[in-house]
Amino acid sequence: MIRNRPPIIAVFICIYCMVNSLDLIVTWMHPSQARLGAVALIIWVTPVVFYWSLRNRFNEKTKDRPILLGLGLLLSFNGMLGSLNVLEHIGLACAIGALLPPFPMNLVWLASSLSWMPAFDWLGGRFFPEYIIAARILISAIPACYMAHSIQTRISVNP
Amino acid sequence: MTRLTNILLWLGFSLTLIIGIIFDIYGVHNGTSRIHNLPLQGLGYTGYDMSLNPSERSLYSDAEVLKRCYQLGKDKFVLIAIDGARNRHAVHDPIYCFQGAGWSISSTRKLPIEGGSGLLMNLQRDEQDREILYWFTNNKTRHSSVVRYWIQATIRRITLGRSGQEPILIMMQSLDNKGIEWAKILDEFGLLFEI
Repeated sequence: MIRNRPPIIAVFICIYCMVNSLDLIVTWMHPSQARLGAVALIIWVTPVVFYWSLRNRFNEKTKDRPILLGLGLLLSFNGMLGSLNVLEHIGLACAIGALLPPFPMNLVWLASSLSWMPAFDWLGGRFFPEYIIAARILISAIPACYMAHSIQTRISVNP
Repeated sequence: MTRLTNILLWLGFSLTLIIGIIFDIYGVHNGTSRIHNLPLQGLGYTGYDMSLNPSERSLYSDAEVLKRCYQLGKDKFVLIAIDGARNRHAVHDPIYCFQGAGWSISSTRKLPIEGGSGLLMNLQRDEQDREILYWFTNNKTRHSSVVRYWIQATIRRITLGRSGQEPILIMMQSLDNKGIEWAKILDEFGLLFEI
């Protein structure tokens, strides 16, 4: 049977990781360039929304990714215990990433999740302080567009 | 997803919830911070407490913070010690913070101190020049790496405090455009290394 929604456990783990990453909202409320992280997250997560909204047009079964899901849970849990936000954010990225089946450039898209994390401001402040905003948007947008294109192509191949 | 992986994920998820609740109840309990062991006055130096401004109070929240002005000979400096045992997020990377406050870093150099090294930064903003010396200390080792601080603080929490004492951020900054003889201060203000 072809499922038109992610497995229940994946949804629960995503919610758990989101709750652990609620500090992101506090960060984005501050009047700084870090709030553009919210925009980067929306751009980054677009392929997931795109995939599941078009899921009923696919004939093939969605390949689950339990290892990535488990990794997300483990990282978020350790980030919560150790009071380290960046681990919780990486955990959230892995959990959301596990909602998508493997596509070309999947790892690049997953790595580009750094663009919405507050850690990006810290890294950018050290290495490219003048280009943080542009780098954040580009890094989130290019892999997300490529992923969306790959999803679109798969729909055309498997209508 | 196979039945086994599904069961394993549910089991892992349930365990994280249970362990999370247990940690919340029996997590690391911190006594009085060791930053309060630093005396206000002593042989060759004198100091006074400075109050935190509203933005500092909001930033540090539950963390224990000591903000003092010390005079040692001709040199005057502000010392800020932040113990993030109760609020780890109050401890930020000093480089990131000063840049965010509009300072530009003109130079940095490592300064050897007892148990490791600190980082001496020369900062500029408008017509102002300041020197900042900082390090993280867990009372055994001292270093200026924020990533190492994150690792130490995280492992300490995960191991319920068995990996060592909470790392504390020590920051010393000059009050005016004049430079400070840091070597002399570090030499004569040995109590700093008891934190």
